[in-house]
Amino acid sequence: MRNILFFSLICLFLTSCVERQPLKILNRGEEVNGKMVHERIRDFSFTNQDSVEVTNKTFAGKIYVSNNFFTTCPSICPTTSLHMGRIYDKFLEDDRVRMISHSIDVRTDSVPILKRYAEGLEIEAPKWNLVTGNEEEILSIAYDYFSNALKDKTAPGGFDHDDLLVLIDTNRHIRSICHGTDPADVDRFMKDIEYLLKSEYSQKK
Amino acid sequence: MRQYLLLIILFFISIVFLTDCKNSFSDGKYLYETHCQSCHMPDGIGLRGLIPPLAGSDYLKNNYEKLPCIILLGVEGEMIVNGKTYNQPMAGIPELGTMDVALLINYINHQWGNDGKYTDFREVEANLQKCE
Ligand code: HEC
Repeated sequence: MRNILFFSLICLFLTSCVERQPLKILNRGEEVNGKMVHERIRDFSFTNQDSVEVTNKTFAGKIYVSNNFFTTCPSICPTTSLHMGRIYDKFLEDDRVRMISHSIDVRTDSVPILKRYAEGLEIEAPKWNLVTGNEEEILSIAYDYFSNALKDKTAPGGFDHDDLLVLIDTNRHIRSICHGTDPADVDRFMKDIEYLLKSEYSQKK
Repeated sequence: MRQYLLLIILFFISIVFLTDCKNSFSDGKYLYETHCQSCHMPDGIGLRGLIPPLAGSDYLKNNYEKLPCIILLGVEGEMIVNGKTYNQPMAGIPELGTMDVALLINYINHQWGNDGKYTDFREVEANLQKCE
């Protein structure tokens, strides 16, 4: 009897190690009236490759992946797009997952150019939105996604930006981040997406 | 004694040859990583319908003589690679020398299961005369 107890304790211990850690909210939080309140992604309104308006409502009740790019970017963008494409393919049938890529070169990347790029990537909205909009708004919302997007004449293509892919939950909070040029990191990120799907949609009802 | 000397000389010559071979290949790899990999990807698969693959590309095989022009001057307009249509301009890399171009071509022609021809800078120069 003792032995069995001991054995099951060990089993419990082992399985608890295997169980993964929940994804924390990565945004800065503040305690208000005894409750943690976290910063969220701001309100936004952009236009996608089909000339359709994309706002926070587009992602209401969904989790989504966000990044920055521009169509003429010669350095990190093709690799990042390749791995965003893997995420697209993997969650193609799951409408709870959506994607948004902000073009930070709003002067070059008009809607028809975004449309052509989307066709080249073999992707469609509303699953994956390639968006343009007000330059100020596009560059500043990058900060909400913990990303950098700056105009820089010395950078390849004229913009300085990073390769981050950011996972947002149904409450506009950031839950996971990865480097879009690092295949192994993207693999981990895709596991986080699956995990977030489970935790987000089991709590509600 | 004479024979030994000959053997030793032969040995050194082959060493020089072998290391040289290896070097030129790794130079090609380096050039590929610096100038091409960000678009054509580490395994040469390209990017979906935007950037064509180099791995197993029929275009690469059938347009052997055009490669120096593509690398130095770029290409644009529709092209069909392995039955799929691509149409996205590729900028050339004009700062490369003819020797670099030869190293690059030899590299991509023998990577990822590709089994193309070997070239040298003389042939590259000759093919550059035919650029459009
Ligand atoms: C900025 C992205 C980019 C870079 C960097 C780049 N390419 Fe390309 N490459 C392309 C695109 C896009 C095409 C298709 C052109 C078209 O549609 O007309 C292409 C086409 C080709 C082709 C012919 C089609 C095929 O796949 O066989 C070859 C060969 C090629 N590139 C080799 C290279 C080599 C070698 C380098 C490095 C010296 C290089 N490319 C760098 C984007 C790029």
